[in-house]
Amino acid sequence: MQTKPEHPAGPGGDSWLRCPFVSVPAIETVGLTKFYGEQRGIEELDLRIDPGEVFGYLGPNGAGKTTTIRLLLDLIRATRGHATIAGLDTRSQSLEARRRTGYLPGELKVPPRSTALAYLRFLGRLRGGVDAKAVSELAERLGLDLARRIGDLSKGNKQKVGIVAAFMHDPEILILDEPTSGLDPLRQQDVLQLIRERAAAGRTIFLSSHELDQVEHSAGRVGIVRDGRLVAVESMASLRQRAVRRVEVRLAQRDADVSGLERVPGVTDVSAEDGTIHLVVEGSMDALVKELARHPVQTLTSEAPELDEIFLSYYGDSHDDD
Amino acid sequence: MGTDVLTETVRERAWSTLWWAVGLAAVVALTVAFYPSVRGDAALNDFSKNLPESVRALFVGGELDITSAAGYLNSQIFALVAPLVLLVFTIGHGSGAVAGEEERGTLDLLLAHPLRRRDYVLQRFGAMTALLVALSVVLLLTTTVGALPVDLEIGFGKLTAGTVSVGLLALLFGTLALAVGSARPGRTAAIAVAAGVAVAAWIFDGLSHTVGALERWRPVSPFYWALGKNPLRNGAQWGDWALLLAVTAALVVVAAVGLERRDARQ
Repeated sequence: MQTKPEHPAGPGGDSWLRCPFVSVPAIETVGLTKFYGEQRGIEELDLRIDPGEVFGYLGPNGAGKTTTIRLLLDLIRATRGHATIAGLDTRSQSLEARRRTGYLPGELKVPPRSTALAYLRFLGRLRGGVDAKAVSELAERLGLDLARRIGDLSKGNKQKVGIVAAFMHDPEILILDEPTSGLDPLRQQDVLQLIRERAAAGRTIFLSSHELDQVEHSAGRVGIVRDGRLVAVESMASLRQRAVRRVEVRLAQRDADVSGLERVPGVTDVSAEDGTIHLVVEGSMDALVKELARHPVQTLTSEAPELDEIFLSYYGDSHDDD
Repeated sequence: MGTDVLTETVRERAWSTLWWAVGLAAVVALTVAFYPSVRGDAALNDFSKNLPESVRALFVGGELDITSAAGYLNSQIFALVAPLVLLVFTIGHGSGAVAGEEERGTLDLLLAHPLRRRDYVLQRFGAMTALLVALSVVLLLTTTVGALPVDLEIGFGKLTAGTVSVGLLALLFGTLALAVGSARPGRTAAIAVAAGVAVAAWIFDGLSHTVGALERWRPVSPFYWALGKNPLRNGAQWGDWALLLAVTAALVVVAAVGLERRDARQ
């Protein structure tokens, strides 16, 4: 795990930096394990996330992401191991840890009869009061009508209520479980922008998702969980290097000789039929585009890498195995 | 400990509680309005006297003379209808406070805030108590006011004693539902246990009037603590009230500890 011996003091609360040379991790888990009876939630999780990091926590549904998050918030209790938030034990010092945390649940449920504003005020009071201006500013940015009853809001708008609740007290640490789920693509960008801003202001952000896209532009490091195990922790840059994309190229010339594509570094699984080429490329597309430039290209479409395809590159380097 | 959860719950439940109050007041007013036509009806009194004792215990509060003022009110309201309404209300609230919120999925976000679980339980108990007090006051006021024009003379003190007894009984079973729902997830189980124990205790109380073997066990039923000594006739029952409160307090502790110890279900 990476360490930052001299962490820059972010604005508004680096109270966890008790010693100037050793930064207390924003989030740390040691051997964190949770079983639900026989069923594994997460096992032997060792994570260290430094203050100011944006950490992407990636995995397919059911991999153990939500279990991890609910352990951090003391909603469920570990079978073994322990965790800290800002140096505070998530069991014995949970109250203080939660005070410093903003949390967006993966499946947010809010009482339908309250208005968004009344409910957010109530949640604010649980934190000893929250600046009303912060609430209205966040709502305005996200396009949330605070006067409406929550029961009358669409799924996306309910999600916005949760996002405002997580951000409104400007916490040191944000734990967001699939924050962009249920939002339309434009609003997703608003939320990701909000995350980047808080990150720039020195806040720590723990961001879970089952889609690489949702963490790609904000996370500095990514942890990948699968079947309750952390299988890799990598920088976003190196993950991007390994990310595989499916590419479809349509050439104007049907009988073009595309045998050269097979020799392009990173390109595999080339198939060509009637001038339409399908292939898989790992990492940078630069060499591929340069090779394609020798042909008259009509369209070029590239699919965002699926998480499963990123996983493939972790389980042996062959793309053929399942 | 804050009071935010308490006030929010009361605010959220204010309207529905108002409807409960309207319903309760209507039943009471209607019952009281019929008193003049019952008073002095010897046939009705004979009917009541000829009931098997356990049936009389269950449905008319063991009253022999249901045409007297206290006998009428006790048999028609305080022995059956009022406990029924208030118990359904408190068991609904108690089971909803933790297990219900958990099933709706709204508990997660609250417990992720800087709020101790035991404080959450205590505040929800406080909210239930506050709303129950409001309903009990409605019961007391409608019986008192309704009694005036029909010459139902019992006296405010004894009506208050009857109301306190019924209120404390409902509080105990609502807290039982709260404790079950806090100790383990599932609202249905919380309702089933609380309602099941209440019905069993009620039937037991009735049977113990006639079944000799049960007679000496009569004092184990909370219904006996609340109504066995007929507070409407005999006034305040401090010892029994203290007992009801003590059991309720113990159940609050069970609820707080239960929720502190377990996983919150998503």
